Order: sequence, then C-alpha cells, then structure tokens
Amino acid sequence: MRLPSFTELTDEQKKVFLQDPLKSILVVGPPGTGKTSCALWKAQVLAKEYGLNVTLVTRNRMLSALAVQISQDHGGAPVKSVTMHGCVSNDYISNGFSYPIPAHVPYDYDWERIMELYEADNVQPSVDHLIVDEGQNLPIGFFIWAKRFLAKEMSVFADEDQTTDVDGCRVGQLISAGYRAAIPLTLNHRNTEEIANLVTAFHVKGRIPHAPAKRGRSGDAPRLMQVANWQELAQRVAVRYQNVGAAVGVILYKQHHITAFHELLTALLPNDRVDHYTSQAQPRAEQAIKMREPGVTIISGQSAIGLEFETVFLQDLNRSLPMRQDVDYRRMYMLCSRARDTLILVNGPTPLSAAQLAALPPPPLLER
Amino acid sequence: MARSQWLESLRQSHIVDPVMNDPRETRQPNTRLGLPTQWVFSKAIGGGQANFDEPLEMLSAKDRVLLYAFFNQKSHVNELVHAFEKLLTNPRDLSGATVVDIGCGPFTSGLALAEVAGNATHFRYFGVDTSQTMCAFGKQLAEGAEAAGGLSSKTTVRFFSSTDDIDFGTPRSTWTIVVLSYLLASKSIDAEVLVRQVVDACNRIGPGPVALLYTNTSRPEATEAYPAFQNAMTEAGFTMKIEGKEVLYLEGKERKLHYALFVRLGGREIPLGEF
Repeated sequence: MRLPSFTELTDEQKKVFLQDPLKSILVVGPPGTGKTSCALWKAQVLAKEYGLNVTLVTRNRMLSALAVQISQDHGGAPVKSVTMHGCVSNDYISNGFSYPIPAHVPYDYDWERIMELYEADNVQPSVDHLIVDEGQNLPIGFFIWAKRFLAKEMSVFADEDQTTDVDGCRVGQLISAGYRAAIPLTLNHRNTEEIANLVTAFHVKGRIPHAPAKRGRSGDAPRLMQVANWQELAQRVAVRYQNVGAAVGVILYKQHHITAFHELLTALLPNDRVDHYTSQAQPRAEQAIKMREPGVTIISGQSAIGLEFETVFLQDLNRSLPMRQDVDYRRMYMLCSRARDTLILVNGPTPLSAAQLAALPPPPLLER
Repeated sequence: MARSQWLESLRQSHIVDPVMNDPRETRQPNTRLGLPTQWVFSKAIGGGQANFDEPLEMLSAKDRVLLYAFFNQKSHVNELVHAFEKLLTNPRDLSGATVVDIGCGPFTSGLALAEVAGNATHFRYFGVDTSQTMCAFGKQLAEGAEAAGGLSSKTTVRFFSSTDDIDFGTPRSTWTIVVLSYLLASKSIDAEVLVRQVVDACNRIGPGPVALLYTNTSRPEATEAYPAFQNAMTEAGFTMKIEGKEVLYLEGKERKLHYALFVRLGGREIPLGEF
C-alpha cells in the first residue's frame, strides 16, 4: 500500500492553517506548539511576498527583540515588532492626538475614550495586517480598538491557559473583536516529554488540552535544586553552562536580584555571553541580547513570556507557590514550559516553606 | 513475514487449538468442526457479514465467531500490519493515541497495531461492533495479548456496540486513528450515518489530528458504498490523502484490496462560544 507516515502528516499539519496567509485568524495553543513561529512566518510572508504593511505586536520588549532576531536569521527583512504600548502610542501620535493617551491609570488605557476620539476623527486603519503574539496578556479593549481603527486584518496567537496579567483577555472575549472560531495547535515541539509532563501538572483545564511532546523522552527529568546563597547559584549555573553550553535562561523575580546576579555570573564566566534584562533597561537594550545563542540570559518571570532556552534555572517560584489561584497555576505552567531540554527549579537562597514544597509535583515528575 | 511470538502463540492458544481440539473436529479435508468448509464460509461466517450473535444449526454464536477468527482474522491482521507499518514508521507517533475501530470484530486492528508499535507504546483502543459475541471474544484476545506481553500495560481496551455510547473522557490532542476494515462491505451500512458517527466521535475525542484508514476487498459489489462514503467524508472536512487498489501477497495468499486514507490535520475550528 502507498501510505504516508504519521510523521510526514504531522509536518503537514503545521502548514494547514497557513494556506491562506491573507486571512485573519485566531490561533490558540499550549506552550511549545509553535505560535510564535507561525506568527513570524505569517508576518514575513505578508511583508515580503505580498508587500503589505505588517506590524507584529508582542507582550514585552524581550519577545519583541526575539521576533526581530528570528526574522533576521531566516534571511528576511526584520519584521516591525513593537509592544502593545509602543503600538498604541505610535498610532495615537501619528494621528495627531495630544498626549496623554486617555487612561484610568498609567498604561491602563481608557479604550472607550480612545475609540471616541478615533471615531470623531474618522480614523482609517493604516496597517494592512496586524499580528499579535501572546495575545492572552493584552486587554480586550486593545483588540477591539485595533480591529476597528488600526489594521484592516488582524491575526492573533494566544493561549489563555498562560494568562498572567490581570487585565489579559480570555479567548472567548475575542468575539467582541469579530472572531467566531479559533484554530487549535496541538503538538508540543519544544519540551522533552519529561518537561512536558511536569508542565501538565500545572495545567488549569481550559478548552484546549495539553499538547503531547513530539520530542519524546530525554532521560533528563526536571529537578529541584537547593542553594544556600546567590554565589552558590551562580556557581551552579556557570558549571552547567561550561559543561553543556547552549542557551541558558535564569529566571528570577526581583529586578535588583537580576542586576546583582549578573555581576556574580559575569565574574565566573568572563569570556562568555552573560546578558541580563530588567524593565529599567535602556530603550532597545534588549535587541542586543542574543538569547538563542550559547550563553546565559538572566531575566524576570514577566519577561520570560514566549521565550525558550535549552536549560532553564527557574528561581521565580515564591510568588506562585503554593498555588492558591488560577493565575498561580498559569504562571508556573508558563514558566516551566520555557525549557527545551533541562529544567531546574531553584529552592533558595530563601528556602521555600514546607507548604510551598508540598505544592510541587512529587518524583518522578520533579526529582529532588 | 514472521509475526511476533506473542501474536503467533495467542492465535494458537485462543483460536487454532480450541477449533482443532473441539470434539466435533474430524480433521477431514475441506471440513471444519465436522462441517463442509464451503458451508462454513457462506453460512456460518457469511463473508464476515453474518449475525454472529445468533446460533446457527449445530453452531453456537461463539462457534461462529471462533470460525471467523480461524478463517478470516489472520489475513485481515496481516493487511492491517502492512498498512500500519507504512503509517507508523515511528511507533512513538501512536503514543497516547485514541483508536476507534468500527466493525472491529475480535480486536483485529488492535492486534495489528500492537504488532507494529510494540509493547513500549501505549494507546487507548475503542472497539465498536454490533455483535456482542465478537466484542466478548475481542476482549479475551486483548487480555491474552497483554498477558503474553504484546500490549503495554498502559494500553486500555474497551468494546461498545456504537460510537454513540462511548464516553471519551477529557478531550486530548494526540492522534485519533479510525479504522474501517471491511465495514463498507456490509449492505446494512448507511455511509452518511457512519460518517456522522465518526465525525461526532472525533469531535468529542479532542482537537488533535485525525487519520481514518479504510480497507475492503476490491470486489465491485463490496465497494458500492464507497463513493457515498468518500463524498460524506469530504463534506465533513476530511481530505482524502490516498486511495488505491492493489493486489497484496501476504503469507503466500493473494489479497485484492481497496484502501484509502482520509485525514483531518488542522484540528477542528473551535467556536469561541465553547471557550
């Protein structure tokens, strides 16, 4: 019999919903299913092959920088990638409106008022196709405004099971932005099976089931590592990087810890790439961080959204454990899924409490 | 082609020995259980379309199922092994898959999948057959396969009389594999109803990709229902990936086969009202 293999069919699956790039689509999928890759592919095709004015909106500056780097590596012109705030601000000013942008509090925009201003001025969309990655962390008001006034077509890639922002939107709310259905992505290309199994333990059951891991087992189970102080953590990270190489991500919580840890690690790895990023960084500082290349990138949990590294040291645990609300589960779900090959949860320097430790999955999902 | 030891010994212990050691068996040429084999083929088995829940003359319902397994199942397993070896070049693709075998007989495609995938790969199998006697014997063969080491201990096997009766549990994103092996040869099958049941089952299973393998004899009278079936599948959003007619030579026997593979790769678009 002449039959294709399931492996060949799975490769085809990735391209099915990209057959008509011009179409506005809403794509949902768990971590590692390729949302960002698809978003970037669509952006490049529309810009390069169709000559359209395309803007990619991402959650934060690090993801925005990643999008530009990936598109450059694929040989295309850099995709125009901005954060939501940058997108709104640029368009508001270019349409001649006066600052400040109407807001309830800084950055919590008054979308109703903004739309009144746009309506009164009969603003017409200036972007041919807007592509939104990690859309679950953006407010529904942004989508309604963008669909009406910013872009003629809009494609959104989201996973509501990873929503970590209080003003993020649920997929169902996107009906207000004109969507009727969502296309699901169902295969995890990123994590090993061991990491995917741990990630599943934090999955708050949403409409989309967790995605099976295509990569299979690696033999390297996620583990919980105890450290007494920051110096010990820095030494462990340095040893890991020196032994294994590749891209290492260290996810911390507090901004001053990120800065201090960067100094410790740079002293241990003077000839290697050790980057860090905080929200106080200079504009465009994130664009210099080659986070996919061998080296270490030190970031906050909030900046980790959408990123991936071969090895992840996850120290930003205290605010999520024990999981009391859905947002705690979603944060752990999102953070643990950043690791491709190796995931190390860090207990310390301040030791996790007994209740926090008990909230973590037992072996063999998480080795001690 | 040599089959695994567990599969050969399962057939021997559960099918061949019970027939050959039956007190009615005379071991005379062209007979089985003391009856002419021609009569067994046409009446007791009825080309696989008989009512296997009814006794017939001196044969119980279980006798008829056993004779079906004795005469028909081995070649069907061989055909399906041939197909699954093409589909499962990487047995891991089956891991965690949902298999819905409609017109399953006695666990025929389950045995073929286990033979190809090995016992390190687990899946969940739902066998659907209108004959309770077939389902009961299928359950026996599945238990025998696990005891013989042919099935992963994490593989689950259940039988139902209709897909409408199956609770597939929490939706999942792994592969769904639907097998329709020799089902359309039956004149009682309504292709549109069948496709509705298949689509409904797939939607309940989850948003992952779906592959439907259809096999049948290529005799014209057996494939009359195929065009209506193909239309209904296309209307339901499936793509016919391949269709073919071939003569296979398996274990010295010529098998004239009609087969097709339908796929739904993109996952069903989910209405936002379901979120």
